[in-house]
Amino acid sequence: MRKWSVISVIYIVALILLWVYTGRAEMENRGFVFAGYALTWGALLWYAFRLESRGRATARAVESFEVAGAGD
Amino acid sequence: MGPRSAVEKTLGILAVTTMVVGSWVGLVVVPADAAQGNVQRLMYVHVPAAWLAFLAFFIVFVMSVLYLIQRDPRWDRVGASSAEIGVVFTVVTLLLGMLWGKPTWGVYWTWDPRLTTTAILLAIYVGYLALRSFADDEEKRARWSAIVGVIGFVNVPIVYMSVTWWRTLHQPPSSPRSVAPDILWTLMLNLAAFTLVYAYLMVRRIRLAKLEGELEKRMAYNA
Amino acid sequence: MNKSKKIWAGLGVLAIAGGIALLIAGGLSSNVVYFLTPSELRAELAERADEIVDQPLRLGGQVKPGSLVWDAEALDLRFVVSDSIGEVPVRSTGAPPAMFKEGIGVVVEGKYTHDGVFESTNLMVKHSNEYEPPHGDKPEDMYESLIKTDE
Repeated sequence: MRKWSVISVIYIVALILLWVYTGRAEMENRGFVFAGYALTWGALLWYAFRLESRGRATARAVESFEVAGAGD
Repeated sequence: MGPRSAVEKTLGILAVTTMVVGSWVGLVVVPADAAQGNVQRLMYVHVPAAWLAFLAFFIVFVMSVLYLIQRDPRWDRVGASSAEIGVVFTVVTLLLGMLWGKPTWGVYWTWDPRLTTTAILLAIYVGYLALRSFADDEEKRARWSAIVGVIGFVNVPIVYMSVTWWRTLHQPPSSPRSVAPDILWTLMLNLAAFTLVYAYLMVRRIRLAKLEGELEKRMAYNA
Repeated sequence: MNKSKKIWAGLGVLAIAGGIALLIAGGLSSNVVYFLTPSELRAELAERADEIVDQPLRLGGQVKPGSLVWDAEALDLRFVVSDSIGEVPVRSTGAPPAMFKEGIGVVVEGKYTHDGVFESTNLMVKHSNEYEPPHGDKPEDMYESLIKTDE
C-alpha cells in the first residue's frame, strides 16, 4: 500500500538523521542510543502496519461470506 | 475494515506528533545525565514503554473482572486488545533495557528479580494470547482469558515492587526527588506520547477485534 | 481453527505455562537473594566454608574507596567490595564497564577461592536512580556545540 511505503521512507530518513545527529553530537555509546530509538519507532510502526493489514484481510474474509450468503 | 472515526484520526495525529516532539526533546534538547552520559537518553523510551505495559495489563485486569461479572463480549474484546498491545510494549521495554544495560551495567541481561519477574510478565501475556488462539468457542475463550487476565495481573505489582522488596542490579524507581526537573519533564512528555500511542493502537485494535468477531459469527452461520 | 494449528497452540500454551513454572521455581527462589553482601559472605564462610568456597555465587556491595588497583597491561583489576561491616577482596580480568569507579555499587559473579580472594568472572555496575545534567558550564557547552552544528 502506498501510504506504508511513504511511512517506510520517512522512517528510514529519520534513522539516517538520527545516525548523523548522534555522530555530530559525538555521543558516546552512539550505537546503543541509535538502536534503542530505531527499535522503539520501528516496533510501533510495524505493529500499526500489522493492525492495518490484518484488518484488511479480515474485512475481505467477511465480505466473501456476504457474497456466498447472497447465493443461498 | 470499518470506517475510521474522527476520534481515531485525531488520536493518530496527536500520537505521532507527540512521539516526534518527545523523541526530539529527549535526543536533542535536554542535556544528558552527568554520570551516565548520552546513553541515559534511552530512559525516555524505556521507562514510558514499561509504564504503558503496566497500564495495558491493568486494563486487561479491569476488563477481565467486568467480563466475569457481566459476560459481555465487548469487555473480552477490549481486554484481548490491551493484552496484545501490552505484549508489544513489554518486548520493547525488555529490548531497550538490554540496550541500556550493556553500556551501564556491563551486561545485556542478568537474572536479578526485576528482570526475571519482567520475563515472567511477558510469558504470562504471551500465554494469554496463545490461549486465545487455542480456544474455538467464543464464550469459553472469553472466560478462560478473563481468568488468566485476573490471575496474571498479580505479577504486575510484583514486577514494580521487585526493586524495593529484593536485592537487584536494576535501580529502584526514580521519583521527582531523584530526577532533575529538565529530565523529569522530558520523561513526562514521552510518557504522554506513549499513552497517546497506546490509546490510538487500542482504538484500532478494538475495531479489528469487532471485525474478527463478525467473521467468526459468519463462519459459524455458514458451517 | 484446524486441528494441527490447534495442537501447536496447545503445545504453545503448555510450553509457556511450564516456562513460567520453571522461572518461578528455579529462577526466582534462588534469585530473590540475588547477591550476598560482604558481611554475609564472611558469615557464610565462617559457618560452612567447604560448601561456599569455589562455588559460583554473586557478591554485591560498594567498591571501597582507595582499594582500586588496575594494571592496564595485564588487564588485571583488583578492588575491595565492602558493606559497612565486612570486606572481600576481588580480582577481575578485563576492562571494567565505563561507569566503574571507586565508591560505586557493584555486583560480581564468580567464586571465592582458597586464596581468600573473590575471583570475578563477570563484573556488573549498579547505578543509582538519580539523574541530573552535568554541573557547571557543561550543559551550556553542549547547547553551544548544537547551535554550531545547526549553522
